[in-house]
Amino acid sequence: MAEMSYLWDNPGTGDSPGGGYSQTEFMNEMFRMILNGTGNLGVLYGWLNELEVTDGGGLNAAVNTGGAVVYGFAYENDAALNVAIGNNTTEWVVVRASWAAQTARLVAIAPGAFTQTAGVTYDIPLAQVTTVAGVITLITDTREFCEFTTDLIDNVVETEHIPADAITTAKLENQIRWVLRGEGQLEPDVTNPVGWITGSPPYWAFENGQTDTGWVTLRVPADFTGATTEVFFWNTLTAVASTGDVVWAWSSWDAQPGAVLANQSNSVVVPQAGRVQANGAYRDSIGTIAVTAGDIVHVEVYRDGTNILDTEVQPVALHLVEFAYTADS
Amino acid sequence: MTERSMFWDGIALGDCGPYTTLHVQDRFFRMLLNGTGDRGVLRNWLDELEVSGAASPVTVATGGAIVCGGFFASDVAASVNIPTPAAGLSRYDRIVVRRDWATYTTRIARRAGLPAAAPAIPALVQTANVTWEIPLATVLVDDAGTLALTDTRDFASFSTAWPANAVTTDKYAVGAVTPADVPDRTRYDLKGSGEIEPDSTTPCVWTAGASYDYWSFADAATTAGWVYFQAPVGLVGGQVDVYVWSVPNVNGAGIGAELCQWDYDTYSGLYGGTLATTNGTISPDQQARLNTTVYRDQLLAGFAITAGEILIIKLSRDGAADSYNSAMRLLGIEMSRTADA
Repeated sequence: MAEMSYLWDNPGTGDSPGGGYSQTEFMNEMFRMILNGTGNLGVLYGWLNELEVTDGGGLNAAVNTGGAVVYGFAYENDAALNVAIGNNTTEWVVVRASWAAQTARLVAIAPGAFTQTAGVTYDIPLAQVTTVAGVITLITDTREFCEFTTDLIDNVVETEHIPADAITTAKLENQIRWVLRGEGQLEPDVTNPVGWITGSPPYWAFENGQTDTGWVTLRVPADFTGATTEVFFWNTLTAVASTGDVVWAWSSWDAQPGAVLANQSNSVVVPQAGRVQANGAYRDSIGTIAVTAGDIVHVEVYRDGTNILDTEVQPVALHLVEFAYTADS
Repeated sequence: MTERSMFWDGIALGDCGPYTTLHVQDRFFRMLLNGTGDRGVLRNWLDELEVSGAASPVTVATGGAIVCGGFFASDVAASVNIPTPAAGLSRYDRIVVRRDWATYTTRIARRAGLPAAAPAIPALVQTANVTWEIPLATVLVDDAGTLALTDTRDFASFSTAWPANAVTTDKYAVGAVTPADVPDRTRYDLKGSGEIEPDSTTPCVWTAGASYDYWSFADAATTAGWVYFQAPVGLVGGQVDVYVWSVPNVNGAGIGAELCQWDYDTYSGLYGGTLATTNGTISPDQQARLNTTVYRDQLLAGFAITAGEILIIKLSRDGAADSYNSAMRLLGIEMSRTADA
């Protein structure tokens, strides 16, 4: 059968069988096609008690009420039944359609593969049941639910279809978020204070040949996921183009409430070659801080201008300190 | 019979026929289309049997339904008369689709309630093989004949699972996912370093420490700092909590209460409104605390506020009155809230 259409009058004409339609066309072809009756599909979802298999005591597997489509055939069980399982073994509990008997019934079958031979016997599995010493020790639910082979129409999911709180953070895509600290949010260090300098715009001036320092503080957001936050310094040259390098650094103190403040630090040599003051700010990664959600993070940010590796001979303007992190939604 | 299967050929073997409407509709389609309870009007079929009207008769738009497994279709809008009750009374009626096994019909009908000063909504009749009604709308009619309609349609749903990844973006109606669909969660806003402003009269002092700089709140004096917050959109519960993150400058002696007295003054309000004020005190005991550890003490619990309000906090330490005999290092002041998503 390469192509077939259903249903037509006048037996013997076109696709209309000469002897009239039988269940083969009606159930095994039409409904099986619409209801995706293939493989291990499918128990009917939400109908009665979905043929769930539980421990019925002793060697009995209790199969609850429900319905299924077995290779296109409709099957229904409106009263819970026990199915006897052999002792010291693992058996399948299946709904078996038998073409010879013209029935679909619950049966337990011996270990190994179940049968799926169209026109003869077709099993869909409900559970795998293991017994030891006269009792059931393990039930593995193997039901696969029936699915229509139709697409959902556009806009079918309305607010009323979504239960309250159903969309958890696990259902939402993670995304990058930023916490920024700049201008008045940065406090100059008491010993090596960075200066706030008039400009367009004004900026925190980290001078060459000395260590200038400021402090920022944040609490790692509750939606933080992962292990680190990446620190970026948004900065620009204050005068002419240069070929020197700037040593940027930070030293952080972080902890959960009631825990000892732990120190981490990092420094990065940032070449200034090719940068021009007129191009605005550059965003330099100065490494990552290991944190967890809820940590307080108290961070000293500085230019290590006395470091031999800091060869830039002009102040650098710092506009922002950015903490980038992966949020869980 | 507890187990049955459908449909087989012949009339002699197993679960074979002859089959009747009982097998085809009341068992097969009812199971497949989950035709139980008040279900179900067919979604998007014609005009979904929607009921409308402000006066009698009401109009039932075209559509279809599965009534206890039985198919029903209406391709022409129908009218249902709603009688006006006697003076001083009103009445609830239901507009239903009624399947009647005695007459072999399924039709739009009115299930009339009883007129009363405080009427009740009449119950549906749902007896398989006799009469089964599914609701379309509830109608409240007063003694002036004025109608108030409530849509009570329960749409049909297949007894099938959705294939994996079936709910693609275009399946969501615009605006379908609301904050109520997302679990509430705690969020917080912490101000530290330059975000704390020393009081102009009794300033806390930004101080160099052996490891880190901090806002120092002195012993034997009153020192203070200020922070500003705004309660964000999405605030749940109409309240926030505020915490003080601090480190004692020296370890507690551990031999008796060493209370650090934090005083607060709050100013809060919406734009254009008067700032409301509160004040209070907390006195966390420092006697068992270490100067290597940061502590989070609750300053405000359940502070009433609405989204959009600003919250200004003056945090003071009354170092002259309290019993902790060293400076306190302040690292931050946090506003914690429950957010709707």
